Amino acid sequence: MKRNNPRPSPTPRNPGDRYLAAEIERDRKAERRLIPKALLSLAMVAVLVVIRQVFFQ
Amino acid sequence: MEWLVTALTVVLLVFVATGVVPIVATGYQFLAIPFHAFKNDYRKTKPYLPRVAVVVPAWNEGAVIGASIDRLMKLDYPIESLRIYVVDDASTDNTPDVVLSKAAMYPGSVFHLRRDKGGEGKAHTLNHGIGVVLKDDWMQALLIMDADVIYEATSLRRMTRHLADENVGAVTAYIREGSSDKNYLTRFIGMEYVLAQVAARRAQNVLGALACLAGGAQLHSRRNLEDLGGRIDTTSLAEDTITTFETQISGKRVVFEPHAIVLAEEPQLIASLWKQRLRWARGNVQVTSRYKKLWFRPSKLHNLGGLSFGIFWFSILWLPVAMVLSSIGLIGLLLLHSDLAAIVFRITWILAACVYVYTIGLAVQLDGSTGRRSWREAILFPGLVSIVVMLTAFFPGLLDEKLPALFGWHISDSGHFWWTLFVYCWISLSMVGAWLARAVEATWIGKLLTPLLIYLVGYGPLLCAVTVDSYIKEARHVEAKWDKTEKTGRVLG
Repeated sequence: MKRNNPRPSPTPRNPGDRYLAAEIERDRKAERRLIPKALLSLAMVAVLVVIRQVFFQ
Repeated sequence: MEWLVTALTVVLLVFVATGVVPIVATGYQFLAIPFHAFKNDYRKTKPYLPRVAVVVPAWNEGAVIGASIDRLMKLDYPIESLRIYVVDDASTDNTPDVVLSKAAMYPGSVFHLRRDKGGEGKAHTLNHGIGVVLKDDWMQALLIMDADVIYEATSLRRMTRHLADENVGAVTAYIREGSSDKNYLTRFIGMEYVLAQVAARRAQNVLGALACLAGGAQLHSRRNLEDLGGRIDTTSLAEDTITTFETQISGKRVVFEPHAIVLAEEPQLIASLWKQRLRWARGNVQVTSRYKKLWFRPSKLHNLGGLSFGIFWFSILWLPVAMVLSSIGLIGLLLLHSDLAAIVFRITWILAACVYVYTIGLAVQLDGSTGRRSWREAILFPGLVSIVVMLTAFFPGLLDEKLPALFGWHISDSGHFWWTLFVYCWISLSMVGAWLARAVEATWIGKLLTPLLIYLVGYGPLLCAVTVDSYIKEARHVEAKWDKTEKTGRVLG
């Protein structure tokens, strides 16, 4: 059966819904890296607190 | 007399406590950031490429507007769904020639709209363009940007995808400091933008209330624009903030998209930065008054009236007041010979140190390239002297006993007293130092002394000094004119 309205080929300007949906998914998953980043920053604070407790109390 | 001393002690403790509020508010906001890993809008976004009209206000932007238009035309976005309207606000340079040449280069995509009488401010210029765009139904989304910003290739479609959710009225991008020739000030601004946008706006996404759409990168749905009356507010210096508030008050969401990045040129001199930030600060004072019935009044339609949003807002607006009250409280307790002085000083500055390490540690990770380029400014954001004060509180005896002892020195009781007085005063004195940095900038020694002073007193206190200036100007009812920040085309494109 012929398609009367063929889907346009993907281009850099419009890579198509599948590509764009995958881009959304990649950005969504990238946000998970916030957790280890925050934990690392909290660890830096913890190190300072430990140094204080051990050497300056 | 004892009751008087007790009463005075309580008052002074309250003063010190006001200084703790902004520290705790910042810590709370930044602790919310990792929750953006799960509490974000991505499950509601869909591929969506609406017809976008880009409105660019331009007054004497001949040096930058050509590159901006070229970059917009190269976006990874369907060319048939993109139109650029440059509203030439009675420019006296070659802006009209540049725009008209681009209109000839990109027929049907770039339009030059000329206002022969200009100088009324950005909002009026934008409204001229918006009026033209709304005359027909071509536009489905409107992008407001500044003439000098450079959009990364995928930034627009990363913004438009949020408008697939009809409950989203507007989207804003991350404006990264993008000067090709950076100096100490643009590096500080780069770090500030990481803290205030990449970090804090993610937290605002989580907490459900955004304070401000970025002036250089805000995308509105047509429906939102029409609900706003088809125009931007022209009655204050903070049209972006008012637009943001009105969008949320009407029940629509405003979303920050951290993966949509645009580059902008920021001031290299304190004089220019002061002009820009004074406008923003005065605008915030105006917004605070305008929405006085909204603060701390929860609503079913929006979260602007929530407790946390209110505390964040007023922590920034009244930060200089909190800093001064905190100093007064500590000095007062010291002069009353109260043992509480040292205790509350330590609590305050230990908290400040923990929040400083956490926020800066997170910020440099959130934008690694800015963090690497601006690592000195990241570390010295609060100023070298404030870091010394934090060390004094965090590691008692380190600076006034252990270090001097290494050189065979001993600090007298009198020396201890004056050092204590200094550290108690510092948070207020830092703003005076920032003011001094601005005052000497234009002198022969300014080129060397001003950056040195800012590294010493901190970039944060510089912004606080501008806020104090905004209180003074608003109290004196100084004419609120729209003083444009000059752009010279330094963005790394």
